Amino acid sequence: MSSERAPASPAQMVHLTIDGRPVAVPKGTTVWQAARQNGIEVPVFCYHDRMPPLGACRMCLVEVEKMPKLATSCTLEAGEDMVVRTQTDRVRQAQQAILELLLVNHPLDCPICDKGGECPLQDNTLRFGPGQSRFVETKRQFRKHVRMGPVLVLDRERCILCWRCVRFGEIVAGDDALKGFERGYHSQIATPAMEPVRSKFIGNTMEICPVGALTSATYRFRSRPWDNRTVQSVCPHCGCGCATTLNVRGADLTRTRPREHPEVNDIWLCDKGFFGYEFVGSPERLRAPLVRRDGALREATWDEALGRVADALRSTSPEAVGVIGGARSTNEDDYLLLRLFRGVVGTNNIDFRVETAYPQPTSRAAWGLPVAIADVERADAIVLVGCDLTEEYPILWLRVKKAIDRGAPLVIAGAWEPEVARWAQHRLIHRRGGEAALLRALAGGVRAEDGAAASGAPAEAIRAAADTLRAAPRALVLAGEAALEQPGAERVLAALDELCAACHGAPLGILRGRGNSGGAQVLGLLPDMLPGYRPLGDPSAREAVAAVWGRPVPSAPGRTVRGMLEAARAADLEVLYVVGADPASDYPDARAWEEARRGLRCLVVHELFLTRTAEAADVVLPVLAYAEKTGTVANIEGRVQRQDQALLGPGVARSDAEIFVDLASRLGSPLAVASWEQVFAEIGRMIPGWAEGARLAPPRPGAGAGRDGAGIPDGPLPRPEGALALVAGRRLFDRGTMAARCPGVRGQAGEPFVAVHPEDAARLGLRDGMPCEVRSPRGALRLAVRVWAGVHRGHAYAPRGYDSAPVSVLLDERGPVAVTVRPLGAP
Amino acid sequence: MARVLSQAVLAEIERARARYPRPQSAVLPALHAAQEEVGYLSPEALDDVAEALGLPVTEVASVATFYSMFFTEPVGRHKIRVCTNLSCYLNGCEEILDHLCRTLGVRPGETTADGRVLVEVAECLAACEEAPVLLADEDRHGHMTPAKVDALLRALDREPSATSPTGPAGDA
Repeated sequence: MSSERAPASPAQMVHLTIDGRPVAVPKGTTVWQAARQNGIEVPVFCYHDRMPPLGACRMCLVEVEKMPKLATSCTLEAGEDMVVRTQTDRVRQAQQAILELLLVNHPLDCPICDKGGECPLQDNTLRFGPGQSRFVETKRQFRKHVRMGPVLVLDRERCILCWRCVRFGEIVAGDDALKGFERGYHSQIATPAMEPVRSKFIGNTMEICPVGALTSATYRFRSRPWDNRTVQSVCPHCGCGCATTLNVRGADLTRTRPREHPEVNDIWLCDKGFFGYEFVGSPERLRAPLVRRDGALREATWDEALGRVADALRSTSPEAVGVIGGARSTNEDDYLLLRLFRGVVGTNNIDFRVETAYPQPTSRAAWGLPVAIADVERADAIVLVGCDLTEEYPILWLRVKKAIDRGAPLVIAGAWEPEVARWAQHRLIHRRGGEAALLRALAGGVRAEDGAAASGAPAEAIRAAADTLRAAPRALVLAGEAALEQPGAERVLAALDELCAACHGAPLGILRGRGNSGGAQVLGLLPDMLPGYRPLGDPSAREAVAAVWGRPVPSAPGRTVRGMLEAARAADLEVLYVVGADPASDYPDARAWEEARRGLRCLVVHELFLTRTAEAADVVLPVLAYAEKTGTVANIEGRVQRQDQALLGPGVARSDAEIFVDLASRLGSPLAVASWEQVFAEIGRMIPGWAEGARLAPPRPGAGAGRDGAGIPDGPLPRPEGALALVAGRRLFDRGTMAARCPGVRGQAGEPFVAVHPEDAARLGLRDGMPCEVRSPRGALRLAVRVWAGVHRGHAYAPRGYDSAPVSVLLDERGPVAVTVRPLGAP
Repeated sequence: MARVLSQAVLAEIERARARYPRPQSAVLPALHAAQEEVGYLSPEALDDVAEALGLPVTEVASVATFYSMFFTEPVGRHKIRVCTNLSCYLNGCEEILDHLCRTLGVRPGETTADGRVLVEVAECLAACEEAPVLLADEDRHGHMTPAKVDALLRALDREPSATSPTGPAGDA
């Protein structure tokens, strides 16, 4: 719910006078907003324009003719012929009194407060406050700087009880992370028993806190605001591509802040976005190329390393070369990757989807949102299938929350309850593999009873959800990795189409991909696609590309990641080139990767760190991180945004683009590239509409187009007695390559675990926190047990993204796996 | 998956929840029921109440700390609250409080070492005509004298806890 009202027609305008100036504003505008819109500043603390007015702080008092007392302008609706004065002596006296009272208990420890220099209390006191205090008594005292988890530092002495943080949790994030405790003089912001705050959005409360009560643990004492250089950037993590500002002091990245982008993240950021930047300055960053010599990786010059790569590429037939990755690079990097590998080397074995064993053709199921992120909040109903929204795309949740506040029902379906289940009107928790039947039942294509029998979700609930959806004229269907990363994905897609059709042609979003997956997809880092979503099979598309490149584009479709690994095992693929990806940890079958690695003659890796994949490589090339290069990226809605260089890279690290250009020269076909702008412009010659800020939404075929198998019934997953069906999900806070090196993210991730339903736990003798062995036919992991009623009976949930315990060890690219969970250390 | 609350209390909470359109409305009766069973509102009890009502535990805990009749730390099994407002003051509440504290060996706000009795100072108990007044658990006792305090303390030993779910009972 936003307090910003929709513009009214002229008939609904009201006319008032503020400080002698005639002013016209739409009916419903508050006096504070009317003043603000006309350049008159009235100080506030509690009011924040993304939340409804509260009137708690009294800072915004103004004088209104015919009103006996001063009025809080933030809560007062502008009325016809109102005469408002904001600068009278009475107002000034009131402002001084309010500030004097607020400062009664405020410690005025500005010299050691991180907010100093960007503090509304400091600024307002200077501009509107009394020069001195008459208060000589003892101030309210609390324990200073209480650490509320890895990222939040709370100082209750500084708090002026404006309630912004509490209301953010209630209204914007819906996580109720912080609350007011006690009463009257003892009132304070806290969590139960001062436990670590449980939130994925708490960084925003630090941003909107008008004093230094809520500050960041990672930024603590790192810089003063005026010493920070600000650089525009884009968050590299989940795929939402939130606009950010990087703060840099000297050679240090001191913090990340949200940059206002109304269409993407508005003014918010999730906590991975806020605190997931410290990997950039990690001492573990690779500083020089590494080359395998005598069985071990040793430092080498660029000349030696690239010479080795060029030799490998030259001596291998193009079909035996494969490239995976690209989702962590810029669009310009990725485009030059294409020019090198499609144009110069001559292979179509290119795929950015490193973490999927069941890729669907992009022409039929492109990843991403067909609508703008901002449109999500305008849906009348939202269906979320197999997506743990706050864990995977947290900023989208804030839009969904706004839709819910407008009255839109949320329907969730999945093998486990997503974190936002509390907000759902209908929760359909089902067996893995039952998605298609469940969705068809929701669509009305099969009876609810049949959907229930095949999925394990109650028929009653399916019927109720179907009725709800039928009543929504503009529904939105969002499906995630958990629903589509399985052998029956074709059937799930067909059922999703059926559901969209039944929901009056609702758009279907496929919430998959991270980092710059959106850019990799639109550029065609895919075995069968060319830039701009044009199919490789289209000769005119190939010719258009060849015309720009001056080199032919091979016509035979390439292999997917899975196909490349299969080919490597069969010794049909000899050179694998991995760009900013860690398939050894993230490809959903660790054993398949290892076997493929053994079949490769040469493995080349572009990396920031010595990942599991890099450790096994023949050549490791140190590259620049997102904050170290200028270029563009595209997010899950296909929006192209620019990020600027904020820092120099470590050692002799280079950008991916520089490496591709160098290799092309070594292969005898130089790419004449002078700047990223030139590359950006060249992409524009291939992709109509390509521009900074443009949204190149993934194409959607009509419902049912080219998808079949809808009639095939889903069967229950075969599994041995006592075993559980394994489901793997993403967590916002994990311990992957980047997150593990960000204390603010790593600390919130905790240790890897396996979650089982209480009934299964009781049957298997598992208790909360107990160490256990999870074993699948592919491998075993040691994890801590978490007993959780949110996971469907008969299932075991394990998080992806823990490099120390990669769930890929258990997964099997050939199909779903069943696992046994056995207590360890029990007598 | 309640951790500390019994099925009976959970059923009572469910009944309270069913009475209102919003679960928030049932927080106070639920907290009373939980405190009655556990003795105070432990973190586990707050978790159970939150889960039973489908509310965030932060919200439930916030309410629990707002009201002075809820305890988030362990306190005596019996709670004696002595009114020290004007009418009671004029009628000798100091002597009552003093006698109570000396007999039990505690200061106001403290619980006896055996965990039996908490003594607190209360604001007006709305029975000025019977001043001085105190509240022993849920029962109000008026016209208090040191002798009546002694009798009350003996009665506390005999009766585990005189309570009624509907709130303080009058001496009607």
